[in-house]
Amino acid sequence: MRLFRSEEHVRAVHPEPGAVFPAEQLWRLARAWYGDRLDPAWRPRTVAESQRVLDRVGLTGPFWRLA
Amino acid sequence: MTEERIVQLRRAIYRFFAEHARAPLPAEVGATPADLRELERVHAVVLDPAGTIAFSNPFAAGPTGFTVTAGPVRWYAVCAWDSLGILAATGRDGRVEATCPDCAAPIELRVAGGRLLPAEAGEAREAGGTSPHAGASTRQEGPVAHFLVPAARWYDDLGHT
Repeated sequence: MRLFRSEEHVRAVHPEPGAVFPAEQLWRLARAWYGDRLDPAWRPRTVAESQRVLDRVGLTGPFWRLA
Repeated sequence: MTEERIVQLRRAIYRFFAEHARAPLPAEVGATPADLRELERVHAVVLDPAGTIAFSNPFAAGPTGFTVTAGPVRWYAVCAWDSLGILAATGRDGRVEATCPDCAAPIELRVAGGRLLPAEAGEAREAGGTSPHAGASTRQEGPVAHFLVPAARWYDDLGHT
């Protein structure tokens, strides 16, 4: 996924975009998803756990369904 | 390979990337080339044609258009999400550098104290210019993240996602 200057710039490249949201929300997603990646006890999440991460940062709806 | 062995190798690969800002050779994480192929099969890494690690999210082995810098250390990330993921995982203050796919303007995100800093006015503008879309109907002002691929298909092609 990529960063654009604004949603207008997204639509210039993708007239039918996927999901667009602010960088601040992307940071919340990054922290929730990767915050423990270097923990000595890190383990992969289940699909259900990953879905809850997306839900927790406000990424809900059909686009964000993992399975 | 057991699931526990997979997890052990993944942990070692992430730690190596974080510490050395490059992909490990198999022996550097106690793995064999066959181990790496198995990790790719379970979507834990993406290998290049030579069989070495190209991606181990959030880390990338080489230039991708997403650079993460924290002090003297520079990593490459798989995507914008992973760029911030590297800073989240390492707990470092730093910056993410990317380029707008539409207008090629540089985009920089900065993290300090666990917070994403507000974009400065004009930060994402080309020097001396304005957005080519100035005056267009307003939607989300940037920088913004764009996911083209729905979540259910993320593992179809990580490089495209």
